Amino acid sequence: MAFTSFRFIVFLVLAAAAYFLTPKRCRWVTLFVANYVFYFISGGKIFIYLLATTITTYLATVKIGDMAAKNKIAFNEAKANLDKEGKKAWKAAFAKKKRRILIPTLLFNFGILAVLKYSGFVTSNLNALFAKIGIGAELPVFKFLLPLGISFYTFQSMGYLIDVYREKQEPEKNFFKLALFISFFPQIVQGPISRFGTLAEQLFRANEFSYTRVKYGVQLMLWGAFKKMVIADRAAVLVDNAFGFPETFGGTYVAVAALVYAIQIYGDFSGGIDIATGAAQIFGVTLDKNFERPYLATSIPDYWRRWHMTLGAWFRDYVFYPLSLSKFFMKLGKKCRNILGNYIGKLIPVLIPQFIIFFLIGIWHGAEWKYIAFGCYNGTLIVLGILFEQPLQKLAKKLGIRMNCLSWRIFQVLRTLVLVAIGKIITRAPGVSAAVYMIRSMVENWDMDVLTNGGLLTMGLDGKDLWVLFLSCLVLLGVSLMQESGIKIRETLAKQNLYFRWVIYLGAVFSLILFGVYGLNYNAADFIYRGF
Amino acid sequence: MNKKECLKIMVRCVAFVVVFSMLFSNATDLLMRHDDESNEIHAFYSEPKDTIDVLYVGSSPLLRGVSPMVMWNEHGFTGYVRASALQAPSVSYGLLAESLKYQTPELVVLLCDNIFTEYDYVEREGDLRRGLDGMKMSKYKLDIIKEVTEADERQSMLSYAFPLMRYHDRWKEINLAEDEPEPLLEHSFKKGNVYLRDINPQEYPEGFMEPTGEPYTFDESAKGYIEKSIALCKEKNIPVLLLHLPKMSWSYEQSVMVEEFAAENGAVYLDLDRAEYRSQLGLDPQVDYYDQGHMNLTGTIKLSDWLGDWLDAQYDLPDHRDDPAISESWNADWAEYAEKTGLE
Repeated sequence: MAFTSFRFIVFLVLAAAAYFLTPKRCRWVTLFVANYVFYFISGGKIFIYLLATTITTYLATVKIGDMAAKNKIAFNEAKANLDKEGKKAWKAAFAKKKRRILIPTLLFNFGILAVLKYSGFVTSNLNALFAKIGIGAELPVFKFLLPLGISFYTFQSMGYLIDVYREKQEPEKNFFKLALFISFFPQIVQGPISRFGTLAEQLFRANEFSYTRVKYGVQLMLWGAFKKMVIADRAAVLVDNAFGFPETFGGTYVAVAALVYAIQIYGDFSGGIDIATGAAQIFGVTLDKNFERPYLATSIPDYWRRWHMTLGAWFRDYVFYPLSLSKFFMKLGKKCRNILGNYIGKLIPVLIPQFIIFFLIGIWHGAEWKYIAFGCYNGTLIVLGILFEQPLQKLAKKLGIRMNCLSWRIFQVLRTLVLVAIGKIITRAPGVSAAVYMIRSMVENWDMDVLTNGGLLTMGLDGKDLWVLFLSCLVLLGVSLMQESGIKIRETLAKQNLYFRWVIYLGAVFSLILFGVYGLNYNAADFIYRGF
Repeated sequence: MNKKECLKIMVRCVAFVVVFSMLFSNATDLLMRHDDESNEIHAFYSEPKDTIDVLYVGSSPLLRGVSPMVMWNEHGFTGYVRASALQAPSVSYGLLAESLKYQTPELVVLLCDNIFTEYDYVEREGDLRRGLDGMKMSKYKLDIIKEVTEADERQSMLSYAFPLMRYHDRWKEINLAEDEPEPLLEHSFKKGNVYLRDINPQEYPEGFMEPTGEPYTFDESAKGYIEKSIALCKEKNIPVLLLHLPKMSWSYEQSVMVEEFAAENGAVYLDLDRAEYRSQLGLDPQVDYYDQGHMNLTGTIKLSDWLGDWLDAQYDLPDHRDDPAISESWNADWAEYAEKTGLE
């Protein structure tokens, strides 16, 4: 059930009506039922995986919670007889006990994800390797049907499990409430990846109906649908054409396609997130922010702080910190400081985990070499950015470049955009070699005439569609700039005259109806991140 | 939220929906494809209740070849053609069933050539729209839409219920300075007959309508809809005529099969490609055809003239020319028809 479909609107209206008509103490139950109905009719007929994740997470967290409670009592009784070392040993022994629950649960759940998503990739590559080195064996290549939202709900539930393990979060004792947290329908398909601490309470409490909140929710959904249907799906026509035939379109065309793809994927993903956030808002639930105008970022690290923020935060909290603060990296840092000096030596325990994180983010996007290349590309940019940050600042100072002015900011934004767009070519091209070919052709076959001689019209969109795309992007840019300068669009709009507001609302609805890309003349485009 | 606030919000919501609906309707009128068939099928609703004597339902040979106005002028009985190009059997049945809610005709004429053809809902979306866009929403229309959307999941029920959802991207073809919103036709002087003026000389194929022994089979779905149509008419005590209009890609074997089918179902069969009728009709392939399967205007007039005589003789149809309740409007329509076709 796509977020931009009529069925979703009907489902949302019915679910919201049922929710607010249910007696307060049972509202969370209605939401729970709505989630599973949504999951089932959205194609999640194989919800055994979702159930398996929910059950294992529940059992593990309750067990860890029990162990922690008992350990607390035992520790309080024993601590008078323990010295500092003894307390340390106690804690280490208890952590080891908890890990006996944590690690199998993590392995089981990430194992499901790995087998379903990556086993085909691994076995087909192994077969290719066997063939190359002359081993006759051939492993069977399985292609599994991926359960809906598996990456998102696995990360969300495993984050909760780790929080319980770290005793930062009390375990939820009610199985159905935990199931509600893991399966909340607006976010299960493509995020954002929420934390138990921020989301659960909002789901479990009985939220009151609020006209203003529903209105804001609907407005946000409309804006999301505009980004998805008017911008992203229109851009998709050009992008599919250009990336589908990389040999046909060279140089400037690739640059245009990369830029349009950057716009497409932003419109698609952030549009979907806006719809999810708006839908959640109708129920009185505020989801975590997942985007903060990423194309206005001034550097690659800044870009990753603004793009898919909840995934970045997940990797930061559950992978980066544990890795960089691990004994191994601490020791490595010490050694490196001795050998490479203080500046680089200090950075090594940060740089390697950073690279690993981006490698993992690449893999998270899909089981293909191009995603691994994309992860490595971003990891390399981040590492280089950190390594050269100080030297470049010194250089800029020597050259007398002012870094706190608008022109420098614009330069930074454009530079980041170019680097990001190159990364997008890697993920969108049919493969790594095609991506390299396209990037090379962008450098070698540059021809500015394409922009004025009608060449753009050969990329799949006619002149009128290109104009709609261009003007819609201007609207998107305008809104982004207003938000960047701190203007709250919906609140500002609410203060305007009724007539003005209605012109805006009706304009938004009709721009969707008239300029939205849907129906038989177009191939309905699924949300891209739904596939991740 | 107090009662007053609640009321204010409700009033605003209703007002918003009203404004939205008005704009939506205007946008639909502006962007919707106005095919002749859609217009003619829609204009049927303007006919006063129980004033149509002969109802014709089927594909394009009816649409092009049968003129109820010619028969009115000659014999004084009324008729309406609810036909569209390559009409699906399901659409024909739906149109018939829906029409019988508004009219109680003396006779129903069904064009049955499509009984041999499996209808491809995926490939024939445009033709389906020609038959359905002019039809009001009803149980019958919903049944057809359901069947179509089940067969072709690219098509949505919503786009049939609200045609703007289908035609929304026609803003590219519209010149806002010249094109104005135009609703579907409210009243038609053609009574469903969309005639063609072009003359394209034709030749009968060698051995036309001679037995060849070639086997043919009915399409089960199409046959089922025709059987349902006949059963519906029987239920309402309305006689059914299964009609075949001149078409050069017809065969003796097909004609015999349909004749047997009609007899089994208690319907009359009239095949105008049979030699005895061809000679009576007096159609000249060099002058009266638009293409191999359709009459042009001169052919339509000749054919309707003959068919009117035949129907009147066979079914003793009423003459309303002296009934001012009907004749006033039909005479006015005839005047317009005659002027436009040059029959004056």
